[in-house]
Amino acid sequence: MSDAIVQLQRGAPGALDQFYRRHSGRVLRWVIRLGGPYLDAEDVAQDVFMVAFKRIASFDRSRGTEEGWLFGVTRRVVANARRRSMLRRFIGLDTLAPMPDPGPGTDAVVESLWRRRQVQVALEQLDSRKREVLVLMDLEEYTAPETAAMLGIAVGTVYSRLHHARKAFKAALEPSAADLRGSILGAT
Amino acid sequence: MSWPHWIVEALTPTARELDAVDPGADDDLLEIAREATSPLEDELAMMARRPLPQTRRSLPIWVIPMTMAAVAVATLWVYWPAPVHTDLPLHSEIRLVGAHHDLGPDIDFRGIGDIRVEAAGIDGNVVRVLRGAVHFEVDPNGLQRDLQVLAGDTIVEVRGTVFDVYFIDGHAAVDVTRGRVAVSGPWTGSLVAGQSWTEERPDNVVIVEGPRQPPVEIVRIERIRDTDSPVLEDEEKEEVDLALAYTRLLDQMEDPNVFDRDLLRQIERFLDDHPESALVEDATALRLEVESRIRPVWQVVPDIDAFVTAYPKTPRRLSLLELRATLLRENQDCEGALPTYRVLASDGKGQLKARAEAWRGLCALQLGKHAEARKALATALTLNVKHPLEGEVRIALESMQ
Repeated sequence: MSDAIVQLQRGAPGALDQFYRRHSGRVLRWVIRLGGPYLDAEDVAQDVFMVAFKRIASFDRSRGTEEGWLFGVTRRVVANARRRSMLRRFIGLDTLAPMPDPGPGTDAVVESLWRRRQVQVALEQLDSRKREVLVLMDLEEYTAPETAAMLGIAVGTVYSRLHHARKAFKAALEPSAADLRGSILGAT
Repeated sequence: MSWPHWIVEALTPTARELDAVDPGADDDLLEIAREATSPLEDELAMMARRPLPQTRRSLPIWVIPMTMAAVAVATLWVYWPAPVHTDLPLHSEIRLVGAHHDLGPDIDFRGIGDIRVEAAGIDGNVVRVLRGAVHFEVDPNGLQRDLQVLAGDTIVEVRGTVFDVYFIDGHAAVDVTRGRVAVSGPWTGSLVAGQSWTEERPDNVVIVEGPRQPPVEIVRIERIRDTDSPVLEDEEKEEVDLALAYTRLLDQMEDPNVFDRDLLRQIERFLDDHPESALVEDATALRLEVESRIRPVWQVVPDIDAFVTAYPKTPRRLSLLELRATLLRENQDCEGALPTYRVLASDGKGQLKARAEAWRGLCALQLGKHAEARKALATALTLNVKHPLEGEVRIALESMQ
């Protein structure tokens, strides 16, 4: 694992592809969770890799893990994408396309996208600091020290933000919780 | 210092322990959220099929810091404030070996030989040439330009000029390059640019007529660095250290591995270590930029205002005002942002003016100030500058027709 990034830093053939294949799913998931419903997650994930490849020389193993470094890049790229998206929304160019409520017989993919939308809208109601902690700890299941290292904050701060984030997230998701549960049960 | 991972693990609460003390977690909902925000199979397959993002081969990592260091050193070299007072000791013999010396802020000299500074300061400067040849440059506009040069019995008095004085084997000579000097002693008279006098034949003074040069207005004598003096070497070392420290900060600003909080700490340390340096303003501006990313708007905006007040002539004024307006606008405070956009629209130029007019128009539109909005949006379009808001401005303007 460590060799791959060293080879990538050295510009070894195939290393770029290997790095992309290994992390593309993870980065896409981070972007979906941090980026909110307005972003095109795949495009933003591509941007993350573009920045990561450009900055690969700056990765320093003594200062953190490969994953932590990539998360740092993702955070900044997502923050920029959100800023651009907010601008478009500010002047009314971007609106959320209406999504039909899933009913009996709805396509499974549509249902999945509907569930994602509900969760993303709930996550949008958290400020970015709480959202990052909730995503890393509760959705990505990193430990508190890992989360603290990835965000550059103290472990105590992680716990405190997590506490508030969970409360806010629960309150935001509560109105659609019954529908979500029904949808999951229907799907299974 | 980092603890071994087994100690960290042992001290980290498990998810169950955490849930016991923090009942906010709802496992059921979190599981739904986790599932709902995981990429679908199709999306993952699509990602895998996408071509690899292309990126240019970047320059070696050291090129940018080294270039910045070189630019910083060159900038310091040119703009470092000149010392206002000489450190040359009075009444002691100084050997000149070609290096430049300052006598106060207005007199610069160099040469080969020995001299003694007999007086220095606002009341006049007196230099005795004991041996050798010395080239003097005196700023005619300086407050401390009065200079007397003694060479044996010869006294040369000047007020802003460029000339050479020789004193070799007990004989003095004066050679004027620019301006006028008064000579007294074995021979009394004045010499202008292009003339010289030598004591070798005092009874038969020879005035050598050189090509007459028009009087030249000396605005400021450019200082040339003294690379031989140990004092200046220390100064130079400090400058290089300062430039390198600042360059490191700039490098860190670009580094995605560095968290903003750490960066802020480093900038503050730099400001503490170099409180009087010429780069305080630049470092403070960097601090504001980082602060704007991690601190709430209500903390950053007063800091920007304080900076702009403290450095009214800062070249960063407009960019900081733009940051101020952006922060307020992104915080949904168009009312707070609008006055700043007005200033930017009136003081800015090119792209900045176009952006400011566009945002001024959009903010005014949001606040229901339609007349101002229409005017600003129309101005943004007539500026004939390409900017990313052009499409949005057109749409907003059309919506108001």
